[in-house]
Amino acid sequence: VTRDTRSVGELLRDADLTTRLILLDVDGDQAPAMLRTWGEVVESAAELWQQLPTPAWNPAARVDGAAMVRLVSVAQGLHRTLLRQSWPGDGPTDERLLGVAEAFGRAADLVRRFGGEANLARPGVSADIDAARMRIMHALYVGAHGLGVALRSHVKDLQPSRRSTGQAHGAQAAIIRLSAFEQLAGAYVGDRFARTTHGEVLARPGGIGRLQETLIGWDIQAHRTLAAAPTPANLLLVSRVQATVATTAAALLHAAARTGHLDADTFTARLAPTLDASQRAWTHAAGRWAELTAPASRTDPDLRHAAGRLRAAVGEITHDKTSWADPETITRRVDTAEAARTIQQALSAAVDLAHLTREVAATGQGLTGPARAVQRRANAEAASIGRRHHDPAALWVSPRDLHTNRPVDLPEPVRAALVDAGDTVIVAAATAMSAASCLHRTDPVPDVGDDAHPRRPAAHRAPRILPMPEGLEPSAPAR
Amino acid sequence: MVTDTVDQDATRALAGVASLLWHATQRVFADAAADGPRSARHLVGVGVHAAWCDAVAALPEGTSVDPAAPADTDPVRLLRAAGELASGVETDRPEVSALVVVIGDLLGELAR
Repeated sequence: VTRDTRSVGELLRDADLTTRLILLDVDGDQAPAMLRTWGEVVESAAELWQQLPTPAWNPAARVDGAAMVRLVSVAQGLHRTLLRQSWPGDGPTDERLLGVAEAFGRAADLVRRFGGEANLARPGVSADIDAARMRIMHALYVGAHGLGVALRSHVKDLQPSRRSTGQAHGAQAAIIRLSAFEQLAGAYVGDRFARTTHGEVLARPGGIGRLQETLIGWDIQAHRTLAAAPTPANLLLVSRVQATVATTAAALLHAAARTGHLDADTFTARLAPTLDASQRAWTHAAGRWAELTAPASRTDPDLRHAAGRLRAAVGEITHDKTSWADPETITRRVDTAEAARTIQQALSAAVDLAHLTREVAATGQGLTGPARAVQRRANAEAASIGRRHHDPAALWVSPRDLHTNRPVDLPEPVRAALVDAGDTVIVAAATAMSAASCLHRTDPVPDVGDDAHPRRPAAHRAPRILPMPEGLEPSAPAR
Repeated sequence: MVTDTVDQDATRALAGVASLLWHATQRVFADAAADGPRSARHLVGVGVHAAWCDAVAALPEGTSVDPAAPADTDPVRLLRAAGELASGVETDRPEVSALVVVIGDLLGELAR
């Protein structure tokens, strides 16, 4: 399983979307679990709110801070009430709201680690932070409303005989406090939601950190998948993605060379030819595995998702739609010195993956392919190596299998072709890695990428109860 | 049973989607290889390939997919045909909706 590589913006949009979805699918039975989880949602939101950079010159920032302080205060009151009463007591939590809390917590962690880089004077950064605050508040507003709906439904569903019990009283108390919460959050959101989130910076590059994370995730997943299920379909995707990694490496280094961040001669004479050769070798291997893959062949879903994440991370740096972004744009998006180090690591990892695919080709048990494709490839290989007494009509698979085109074991010439392709990939990948050893000499340049969006995901924060986040106390003594 | 008929129709249509995406994938990578190792199309190819994986994953185990190549070899038209076929599948399975979105996104990327 690879790490979560969502940006702060993506985490907030996911949190907001989740609360909306909860509202669409809520009933009284869910109320106890939702109520147990609500405190953690507010706590995480407040923690994130506190981490977001605040422009010192913006008087509205103090007001914004006070809005969250009041919400935390209401939530703390609710929390204390719940502790005193017997309902809802201990029990399961609501997974959807936990997901919202985790998204806030993860975003807070990202901002804590990387938010210091944000340049609030840059156009768009301040608007993006405003949009982030609005997303948080909107998620709390909708979430509180959803929880209120669940609680009212819960009370309504109670048998008349139980409507005067502690359960009903507890739910009623929670409804009242949540109404206050909802109104406070609603006052902040007002009619500003659409206008403020318009300043949100969408699809900003996650930077080289995201690419690095997804490359590592891809490498780990490729190893796992090939260890567990070394099928032609999985090997096909591995080979195609590795070819794309080589293409990406060439594009990033080309951009570095064109913008003066990498010696142009080094790129042209040393790096480009080896990267191109590596790309061709992986593409050739992919062609061999494609022959053995049927249109109905299944690919490991984890591998597919790792490939999707890597494609997204590459695309946001190197592409404008389906074309290459120009070198100046690429170097504006990422720190090329950091990119060079990432590429160096990816090219080293590619050598190990090349060995693994070759090993599977040579010794993998249970490798099969469609009978007709296997027959064609076996004949072509036998002819190309000039086997003595080679008969073009020789049958490497049975007529019955040819008729049904069922999957068959790979005969020796097909295996040999796959091993040859694997050997070529190993040599090409090792040569590219060796050539890339010069990359540590690229000059570091200031990262002019996305200051508002941190680059690397970080570990989760954890606390469950509801302390007032430091600095958010309404009556903190002046220093 | 009406339900069985609907499910069979949906499966048949999804198998058609998988077939179209498979051939679109092959065409995109063939074009990318013809362009050379620096072609920007390799990355598009990974996206189409992933959509094909999704289409196969949405099929019941053991469903056969027609391997015959369609007459049309233009990957965008193949992708568009796959999108139209997928969006007409009568099912409430979320993975099919997700597939329609993925294909739509790819067509959006390919639209200039």
